[in-house]
Amino acid sequence: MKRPVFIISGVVIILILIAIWVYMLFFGSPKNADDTFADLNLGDTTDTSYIENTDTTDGEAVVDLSSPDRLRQLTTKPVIGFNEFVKDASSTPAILYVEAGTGHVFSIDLETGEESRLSGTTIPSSQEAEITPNGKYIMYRSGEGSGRTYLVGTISSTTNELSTSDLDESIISFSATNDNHFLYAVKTQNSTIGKSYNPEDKTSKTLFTLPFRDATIDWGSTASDSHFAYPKTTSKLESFLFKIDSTKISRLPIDGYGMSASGNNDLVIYSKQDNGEYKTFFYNISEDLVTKHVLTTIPEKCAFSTNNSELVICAQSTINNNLNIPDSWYSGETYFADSIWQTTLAGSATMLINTESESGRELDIVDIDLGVDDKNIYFLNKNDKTLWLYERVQSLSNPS
Amino acid sequence: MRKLFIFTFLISGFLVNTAFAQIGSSIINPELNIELQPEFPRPGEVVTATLNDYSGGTYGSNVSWVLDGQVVTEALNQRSTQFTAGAVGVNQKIEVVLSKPQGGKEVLERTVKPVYLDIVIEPQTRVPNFYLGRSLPSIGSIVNATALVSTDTFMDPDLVYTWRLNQTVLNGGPIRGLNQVSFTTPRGGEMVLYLQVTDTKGNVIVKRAVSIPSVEPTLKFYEVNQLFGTSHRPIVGSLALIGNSVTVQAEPFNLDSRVYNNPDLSEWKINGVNSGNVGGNPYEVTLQRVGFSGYSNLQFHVRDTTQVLQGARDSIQINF
Repeated sequence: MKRPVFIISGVVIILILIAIWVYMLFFGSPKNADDTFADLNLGDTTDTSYIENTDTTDGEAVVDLSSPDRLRQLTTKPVIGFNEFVKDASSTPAILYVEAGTGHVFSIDLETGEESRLSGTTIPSSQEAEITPNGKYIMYRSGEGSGRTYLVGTISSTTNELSTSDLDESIISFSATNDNHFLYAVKTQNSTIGKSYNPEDKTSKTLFTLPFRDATIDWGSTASDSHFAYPKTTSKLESFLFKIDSTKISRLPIDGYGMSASGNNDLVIYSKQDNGEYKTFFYNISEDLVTKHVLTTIPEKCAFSTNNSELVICAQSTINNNLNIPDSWYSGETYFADSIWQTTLAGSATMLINTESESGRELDIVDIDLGVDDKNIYFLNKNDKTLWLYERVQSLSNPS
Repeated sequence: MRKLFIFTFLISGFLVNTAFAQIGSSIINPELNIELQPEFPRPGEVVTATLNDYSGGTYGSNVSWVLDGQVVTEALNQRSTQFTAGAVGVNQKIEVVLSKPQGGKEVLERTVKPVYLDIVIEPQTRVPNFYLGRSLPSIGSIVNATALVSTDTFMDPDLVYTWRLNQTVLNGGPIRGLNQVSFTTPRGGEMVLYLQVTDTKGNVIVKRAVSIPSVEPTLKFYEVNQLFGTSHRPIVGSLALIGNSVTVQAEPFNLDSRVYNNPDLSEWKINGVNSGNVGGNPYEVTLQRVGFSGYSNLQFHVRDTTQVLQGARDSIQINF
């Protein structure tokens, strides 16, 4: 084929293509507006009407409290302190909690499930907190180790801010009381000093002095209640239990390897290594009588009823590797999927709920707290520090 | 004169026999006594009382035990009996009456006054901040021991304390008011700490011996969340790196506090190669995913090479 013919043919083809493109660009619109350009069969409607969003909750979280389930997870974020709060007889109860890390304070209405933030003031590296029952004061631990600090915050009724005041002491343990004070312990060179703090006037008062430093203290409900103290627990060294009433410290006949305890004015529940086995006991203070508990559990997983001093709620799982308990639980090597039990000094034990079968989760229960009139059982899951509620139908004195 | 001398001799012999019957652990015959185990029981502790007659002088005697005036019938003609120590600070008297076949009785007695002697062992070794329990001693670490003597309340510590660690008497001997001591953990898997407490006149109030274990320092690794802090569950074996980075903290258990605060050696290694730790905390390392997936070995080593001569080393696998 001759070269000029080839070139002419190519130019003609290009001109035709350009003409088609121009036509499509300026004159290629569909005559019928209802035609669809491409039907990929993705949607099932051609309705173009606008549906207005009628959600009026302003983005506030709502916890589902309406389902018939009695075991509920109240938070997905880790919690470092909580307390049930009832403003007055006509108010619905609420649960106040402090978020880990930020120290922000939230409230969940237990009737509606509505959650609101009471304080947006950030307390950096918040690790531990206690809230007074009146919902007004919070004691915080911020940071860990030698860099930790302690402060008391006051929740404002009008703003979202928390006013704080520092406690410049080497605090090792603290708790809120039923009369809206704080109890705390300070470690010195050779001793541990127990004190009471009044957040109203920001004053402290010394309650007692223990002649050893590495102490675990189980605080009473008020400064005048019985408190219990013992050298920190390890399965390899002996601990001894002391009862503190006002300024008097008396030794109870409770001691042993791996011993830890919790008590009220009438009763102590304690566990220890006994002949190669980890066992749990009751000690009746007034009768000076020790009885074996029907369950084996770690006393840190128990809480006493406020209505019945001989009734104890405990979280419990089968404990294997007895000899290393509770050390391996403290270090996190051992963890549990607990059931919640109601037990009495008389020897009865009733399982209230198997949390694993109910929730499908392994809940290693700590910080059990019984709400007003023992109606609700609150606790944290040690694995992720989320806050949970087990709602009872009746108070514990009349178990359902 | 001779009659006077004989009369005096006879009277003296009679008094010695009478005196002998009243003494439990006799100066005249130390081979006849009541041995208590434990010798200074706690309230409510089971005590075994044993008649020791090394001389055999009571051969064929009827043996009966009496506790606080009550005959222990089940221990009739037994060389030992058991009883429960009473309330704190309350005296109990255990007696054994030996009725000899040729006539006559011999009565031995011991008095037990239960007192609490608690020795609080506080090793100056490290455990994580979230750990609720007490640490244990490791070789070379300092241990503080505090003695608490109590009846219904703490007794005045102005007593005389004699401390002994294994075969070594601490502080040179008995010292008044010394209810706290410190010592260095010696070599070996355990040590025994003895304490004897007396009043200022030398009367023994209570004594005890406690066995204290000594362990090797260990390491555990925990994941750290910058907002929420350290996880309380250790990383066992391996850690899957889900996001782009992770912070891991090495927590020594039972490492001497002096070593923890000022180690001669603290290093992180990844696959055997030293990793420069740019953060302020030598026990924390942040790992970041770069490029392809796989796994690495993360090792931490802390040690003192000059004074305490102890340390810990361990590793985990990081899958990314």
